Amino acid sequence: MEWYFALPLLLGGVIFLMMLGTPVAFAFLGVNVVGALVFLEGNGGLIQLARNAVDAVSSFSLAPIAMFVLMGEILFQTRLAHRAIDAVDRLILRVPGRLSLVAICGGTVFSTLSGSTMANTALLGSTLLPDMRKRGYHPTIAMGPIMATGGIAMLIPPSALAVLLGSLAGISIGKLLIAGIVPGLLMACLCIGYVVIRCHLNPSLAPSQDVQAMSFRERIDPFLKHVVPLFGLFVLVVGGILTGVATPSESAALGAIGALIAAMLYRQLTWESLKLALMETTKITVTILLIIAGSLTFSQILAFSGATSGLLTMVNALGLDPMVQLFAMIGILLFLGAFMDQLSMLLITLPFFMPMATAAGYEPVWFGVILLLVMEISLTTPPFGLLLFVMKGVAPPEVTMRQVYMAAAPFVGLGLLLLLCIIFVPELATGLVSLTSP
Amino acid sequence: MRAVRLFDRLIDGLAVLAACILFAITFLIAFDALSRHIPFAPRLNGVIELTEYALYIVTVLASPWALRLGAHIMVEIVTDSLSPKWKSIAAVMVNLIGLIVSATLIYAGGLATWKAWMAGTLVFKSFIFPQFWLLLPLPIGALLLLIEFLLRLSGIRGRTPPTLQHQIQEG
Repeated sequence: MEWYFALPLLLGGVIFLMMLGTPVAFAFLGVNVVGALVFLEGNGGLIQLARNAVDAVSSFSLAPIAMFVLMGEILFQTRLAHRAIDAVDRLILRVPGRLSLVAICGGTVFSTLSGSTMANTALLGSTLLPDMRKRGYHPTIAMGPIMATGGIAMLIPPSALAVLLGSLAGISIGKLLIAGIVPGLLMACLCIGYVVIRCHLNPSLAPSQDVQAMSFRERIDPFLKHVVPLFGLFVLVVGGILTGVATPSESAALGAIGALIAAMLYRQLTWESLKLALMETTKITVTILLIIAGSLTFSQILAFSGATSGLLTMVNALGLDPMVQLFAMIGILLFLGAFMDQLSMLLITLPFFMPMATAAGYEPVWFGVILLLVMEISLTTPPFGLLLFVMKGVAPPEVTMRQVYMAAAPFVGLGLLLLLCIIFVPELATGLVSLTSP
Repeated sequence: MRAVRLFDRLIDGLAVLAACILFAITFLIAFDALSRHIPFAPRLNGVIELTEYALYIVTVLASPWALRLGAHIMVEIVTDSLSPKWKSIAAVMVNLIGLIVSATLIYAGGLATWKAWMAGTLVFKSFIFPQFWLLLPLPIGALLLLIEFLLRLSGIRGRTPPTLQHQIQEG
């Protein structure tokens, strides 16, 4: 079969099954069955399919996904994360858009402890949004920063998606995790700048509030008690990778054990919270691993059918400038991201994008950070960005979807601005990696 | 209905086992990392390999449970905009696809296991054991998925899947 028939059959098949509502893992596996029969010659192909599924998930480099999720879940279920947000709340004084800034700073702190964008948005949405609404914050300035910081969790380690991207794309996981730190912090700074300027220009967006009179000690104590020790976990995870003392999998495991010990020391660990954290971790890990089991074979079938090389030859024949190719790839991801979850769009495009990136001579870590950032942006891209719906789910019923869209729009713009900065100043992504690895 | 309850207990039990395995490998990896830097600490052999098998086993054990909870990632933008009638038609098609995929995995996994058994192939890494041990869980897990898809197709499973919190409260 010619590649231009194989490509729509395989790619179109997966997209069709996904749109039908088939769980993503089964959409991949379903097309793999057809692909194995057509391109891998019957029974032999099916046996290969079974073996590939086993091999795909039996990979040590995927272990940090489970460990990072466990780390975040322990902090979330034991409510240590909630305490950390409260502590940040006390620290920020009278500034324009104070609660929005609490959301950004608190969200960024939680990003250093959890790799889950959903947990981040749900946590901030449920804890801070009701208060913001009560104090008359405009929906755009109340919800936008919460959604934006959800995306920051994807960039700043521990990030389960960065591990997945590194593992699937063959990019050093340790370097990718480190490379996400500066862009993540820059995104937080951009959000803070935007909120302060907007609220300064238009104070009605966030009415000023009387901050409870407290001494300096009363303000700083909860931060020292509930936030600073938790930074030890971040140092443990990132430090282990940075110094080369531990692999990403080992750092992640140490981080999860560290979170457990922290919960015990704070006397917050209950049997109930541990069970919930473990079962949530199992649920999230299994759904990701099953998708990987299907998608790896999918990319092998794509390659075997000639679809991958056929498309790449065609793109190469166009003689496009590498920068034009990069913008085309970003455009495709942003388009897909408006309709699909991050994992699915990554798995559909990686079999094509990675060979293209190699041929164009992109620096792999830089390209990986760009992919992560695009996925971060697409999380909040209307109409179907995932975090928009998480936000709508935790927002009061009177908040309309249109208000959620309007709230997200400026932060999508900030994300795009940061993306352009990283494209034209690659050191923003690779600088920290070069500094730390000889 | 008794058979369905038994099946539910089985997949719940397997999910708990999967969670215990994940918890255990977290400790195992952390211990291995620490023991490398502690003089005279006992060293574990084959942690990487054990972790790899554990990730695979966890996936096989807990997938049917995740399916029952409706936790598998789905793209719902098209189906959400369908009328109730077309939505239920789409749901039937999805369950049929799941059924076919599970049945194929039982066949393919079973065939791969059978061939490995007949050939007496061994896995030769830190641990040495017959390869069919590694392949056997796949068709078994696929069988559990097939039963779950059958239950969904037959309408025995309600529209709203049970939540994790609810399950844990029930013990």
